[in-house]
Order: sequence, then structure tokens, then C-alpha cells
Amino acid sequence: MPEKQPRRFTWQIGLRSLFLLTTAIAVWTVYYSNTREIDRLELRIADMRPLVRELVVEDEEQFAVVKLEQHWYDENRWSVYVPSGEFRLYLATREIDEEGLAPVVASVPLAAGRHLLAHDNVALPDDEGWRVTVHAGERLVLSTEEPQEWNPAFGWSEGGQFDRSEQLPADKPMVLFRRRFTQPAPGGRSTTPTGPTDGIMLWIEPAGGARDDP
Amino acid sequence: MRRLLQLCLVAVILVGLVFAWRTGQERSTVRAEYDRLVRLTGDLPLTDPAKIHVLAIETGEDLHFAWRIYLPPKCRFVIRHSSGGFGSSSRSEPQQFIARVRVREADGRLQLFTKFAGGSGESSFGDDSLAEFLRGRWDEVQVEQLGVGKVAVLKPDGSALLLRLSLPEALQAEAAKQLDRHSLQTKLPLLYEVHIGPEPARP
Repeated sequence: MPEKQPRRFTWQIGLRSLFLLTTAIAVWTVYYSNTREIDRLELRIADMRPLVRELVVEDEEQFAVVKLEQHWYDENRWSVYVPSGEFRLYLATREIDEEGLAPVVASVPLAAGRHLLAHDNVALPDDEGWRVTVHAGERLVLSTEEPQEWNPAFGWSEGGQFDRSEQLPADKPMVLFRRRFTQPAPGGRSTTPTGPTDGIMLWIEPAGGARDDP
Repeated sequence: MRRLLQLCLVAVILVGLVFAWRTGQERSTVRAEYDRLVRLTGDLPLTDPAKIHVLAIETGEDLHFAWRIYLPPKCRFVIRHSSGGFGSSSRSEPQQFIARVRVREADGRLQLFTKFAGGSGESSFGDDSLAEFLRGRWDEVQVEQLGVGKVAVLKPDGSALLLRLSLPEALQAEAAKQLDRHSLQTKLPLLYEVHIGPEPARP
């Protein structure tokens, strides 16, 4: 007498198929969970990245620069990337206009790679004037002194540049800092002159030009 | 038929495994970057983007206080210092920034650095006697700081104490004898405080 076969429904699947289906669902759930988490984290990273002011170098043939977060008043520090080639860092303290460059008072070669540059302007004791310095890391690389009247201490005007990491072409000067001193005006007021005036300017450009060491 | 279904499932699993492995790697990388940035700026989840969010950030220095602050669009952000100083800023877009208050001694005087959305400033507070009195005692000063360990969420027109530095009871009697009260720009035991938001309306 023939054995009676168990009846199989058309929608019925075997244990192996069930196991494979469960595994497939699990694997794709992991994938879906990963992509959602990545999207969530990237949104939060996008909010945080501008706050930390980190240097981003995507094109190694260009300059890159970001001004670092101030931890004290008038603290000016930049993280800078210099491409391979011969470049110099220039400092000017006179005849600084709203655009263009100014007569160089000091300059120094700047090697390719990343640098932490910091500028400072301190009053000398006994009203003897001002000392303008630039450090690369811990090393003093540029320094000059100016008389007391150079900075009337009425304030200054300057552009708030490089709050975010930027890349700029290396064949043109990259102006890090352009401060123009406000000058006393009639009636006890003060104003920033429209033409060249005293101040502090710091920039990097290819070496070998007419501006090299005065 | 069943065999075909199983083969299809195996293919789906294999493709899924590759995608899951790749996104798993990417997730680890993104997570590491996220954790690194959180250590620098704090993690500020926005529970209500229409409100101000404030989170204190660890600076690693005794007299250096920092916050990550989120401002909703068109929020007029007001800062009021105990010295009477006042500042405000407003932008049509939402903004996030790091605010700082830092105290240090220079040339025998205490100097205060503040940086908020609208800019930064430096001022001195107290006289030589206060600087001398507090020298080596800063760890005894009482600090109340908004957003420590937990995000503070405020209405756009709400007010809150952001930071208060005050003398503990144990130092008050000694300070009263040694310090010139007129030079403090504030009333002991308060050394310095800064609020955010407009001054609350008086009843």
C-alpha cells in the first residue's frame, strides 16, 4: 500500500528557504541601519566642522588657510598649507591700502607643508613703541619695531577672513592679515583713511619677485 | 522552483553582505570623526530648532569657560555682564558658535576675555588687591556654569545665567577686610557673572 505523501501548499517554504530569507532580511537591515546612522552622523559633523576650524587640503598645488579660533582678544593664528615650490612670508607695517600689497619690512622663506603662523603686536615698555612679531610654531620668524605714533590706538579696520578653511591659487599672493589703523580726525573723532595708511599686513607669495628682502 | 528561490536568496544575502560590510566600515570611520569633533565642540542635539541650545565644553583650564551655542533664526541674542556691559546680535539664519569667557592675570591685574556671536572683547576687572587675593585660590572660587553635562534649552526670548564666579563663604570675611570694594565693579561675594537673554521684566 503506497505511503501517503504529506500535502504541501503552494505558499509553503522549507526550513532552508526560511533560514535564507531571515538571513537576507537581517543583512539588509544592517545595511539600512548603517546608512541611516552614517547620514545622521554626517549631518552632525557638518554642524561641528566649521566650529573647530581645521585646515582642509584637497588640492596640494594650492595654498590652504584657516584662521584659528580666538582664545584671547586680538589673538591671530592661522593654520596654513604651502605647496611645494619657493614661497616667502612677508610683513608690512606702512602704506597699507584696502587692496593690493604694501612695502615689505621683513620676509622669510616658508617651506612646503603645514605651518601654524601667529601674529602679535605688543606695546613696548615706557611708551617706546610697538613690536610686531610673527611666529611659525614656536619659532620667531619675523619681527620689527615701530615708534609710538605708528599706532594711535584708536582702533583698526580689517576683514574677517578665513573663518573657514579655504584653498587659493599659489601663483598669487595670499593675504592672511590686513589691518589698517584708525587715525584721529577733527572734532575728537577717528576714521580709517581711504588711501594707504599704517597698519599690519601679512601675506605669502612665490619667492624671487621684486619684493624680496628689502 | 524552490531551488531557484534559494539561489536568489543566497545572491541577495551575498550582495547584502558586501553592502553591509562596506557601510559598516564607513560607519566606523564616520563615527570616529564624529567622536573626535565631539571632544572638541561637544555634542549638541537640537531637540527644538526654534529654541536656544547651550552646552558647556570642557577646556582643560581652570579659568577658561566655553560653550557651544545654537541660536534659532531671527533670534536676538543678548549678553549682559555684571560690570554693566551689554551686547546683542541677530541673524536671519540659524547659527552655531563657540562662546568663551576666560580670566587671566597680566601685569598684576585680572583680565577678562569674552567672545560671543557678535564679537570679542577684553576688559580688566578688580584691582591689584583682588588679583593678589585670588592668586593661588582660584580653585576655591565657586563656579556656576550653564549647560554643564546637559544641554540647556531656552526660549528665544528667555534669560539664563551663563556663568557666575563668586567667593565661597569661607573666603568672604577675609576678602571683606583685604579688598577695596569700590574697585570690584560688582558686589562681593560676586566676582563676575554673565547672563544671556534680555533682563526679565520686573513685576
